Amino acid sequence: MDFLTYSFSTDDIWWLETFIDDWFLVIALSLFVIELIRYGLKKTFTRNLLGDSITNFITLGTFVLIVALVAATYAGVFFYVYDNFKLVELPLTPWTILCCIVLADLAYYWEHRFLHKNGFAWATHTVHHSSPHFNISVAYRHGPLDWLFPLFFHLPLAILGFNPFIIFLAEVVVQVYQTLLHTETVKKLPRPIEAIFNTPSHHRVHHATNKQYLDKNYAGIFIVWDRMFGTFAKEDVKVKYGIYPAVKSINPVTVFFSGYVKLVRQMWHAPNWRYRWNLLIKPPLWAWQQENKNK
Amino acid sequence: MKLMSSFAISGVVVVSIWGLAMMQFPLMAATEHSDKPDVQVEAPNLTTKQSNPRPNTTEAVKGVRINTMSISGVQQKIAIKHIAKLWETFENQQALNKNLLRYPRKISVYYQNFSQDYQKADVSIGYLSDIVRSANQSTTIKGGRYERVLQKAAHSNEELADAWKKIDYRKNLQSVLEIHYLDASGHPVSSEFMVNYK
Ligand SMILES: [Zn+2]
Ligand SMILES: [Zn+2]
Repeated sequence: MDFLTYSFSTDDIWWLETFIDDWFLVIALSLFVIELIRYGLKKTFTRNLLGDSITNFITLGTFVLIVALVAATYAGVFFYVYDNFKLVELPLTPWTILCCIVLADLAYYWEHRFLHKNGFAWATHTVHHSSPHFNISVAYRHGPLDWLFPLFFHLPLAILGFNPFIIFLAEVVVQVYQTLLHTETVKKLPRPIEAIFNTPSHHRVHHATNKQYLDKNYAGIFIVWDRMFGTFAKEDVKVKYGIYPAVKSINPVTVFFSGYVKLVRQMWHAPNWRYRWNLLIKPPLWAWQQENKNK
Repeated sequence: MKLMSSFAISGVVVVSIWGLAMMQFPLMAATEHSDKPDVQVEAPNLTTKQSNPRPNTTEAVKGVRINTMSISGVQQKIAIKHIAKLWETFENQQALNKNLLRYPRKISVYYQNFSQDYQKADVSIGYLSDIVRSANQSTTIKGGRYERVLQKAAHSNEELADAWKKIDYRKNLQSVLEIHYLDASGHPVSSEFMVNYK
């Protein structure tokens, strides 16, 4: 068990993080090729699917550009909080990394649940959900503010004494795991795995528009959070993917800004300031109910 | 209500996992003790005091053997009373801290090439070079027999300053070695002060 307390340098952690980041993209792309072949064999490959996939990678590219612009500030906030407000200083060991991954996964759960329950946050996360398809490329479908919300939910880890480099590594691990879930190729995994871990089956449910599946399975790596907090649903009937109402576009610009364009339009037509405030704060379901009431 | 209990459970999970992470502190302290000591204590050697017996001296002077080692950090010719400035420079060495291969267990301060009046010296403050990646600014600490002026214990800055007064300046002062031992989170917990005469 000695290796669990072996001390890394921050360089080692950074190296590990970029290593995972780079190689994972290669792995994900090759998995995507396999999926495309599978679509071809099942004769379900359509022009819309091709356009949708290209759009997914364009939103990824745009997102990466935005991240590059804000990365220094994002990291700076973590280091500032860590240097000034940390309660202890946890050593840079594999054991610390393991603990951090579990806590980052819990933070991810709450962040993700928040994204679904807050109008302003949903306007960026809706992009990820707006595809009517479900494959690895959908994992890369990002909204313009997807980088902002993780900040608030992961910052407490710096106060607990996790070195920011370890926090970033843990965020990458959760993200990478999440990416792998976006596939229809894997049906169900062995029972014990489905019980503890998030799986493609569980995440398909999360992307569903079926009524019984709405706002379920927010998990990153561990599905136990959803089971504990009462947001779990099992995949039994066939999943219909996407959001309601659908975006119905494969234009990358339309898709990328769809959430905020819609939000701005709703704000513009809002009857009063209270309604506008509610649009930003309340769940998207609230806005939808209001609009239907008025019809 | 459901949401509130979920928050509460999350809080419990966070505290538990945090506790698991912090379990490493006592564990690391334990491995520190099993580390091979660099300093081997010789039998108490009182001969140096015999020529000048002081009845109220309670601290027996011990001879210690120090192995030759190399430390990396900062070095400068400086007035000994301005040592705080060099400590400041040392603490601001971002590059050095980034190059640490593992958490340092001690910081060594080495004084040599004293001026005639013993007010100035070449002072080096650093970590053991073998835990620093690509160590460039390094100083060799000459091994040999040292006399321990302050035993390894928690000493205040005043005690450390007072240690200088306990040095026998009639003998030919070669070097002074001050070691600060750190806990797992890098805070100094104890120190010792040793002198090497020519
Ligand atoms: Zn979601
Ligand atoms: Zn997803």
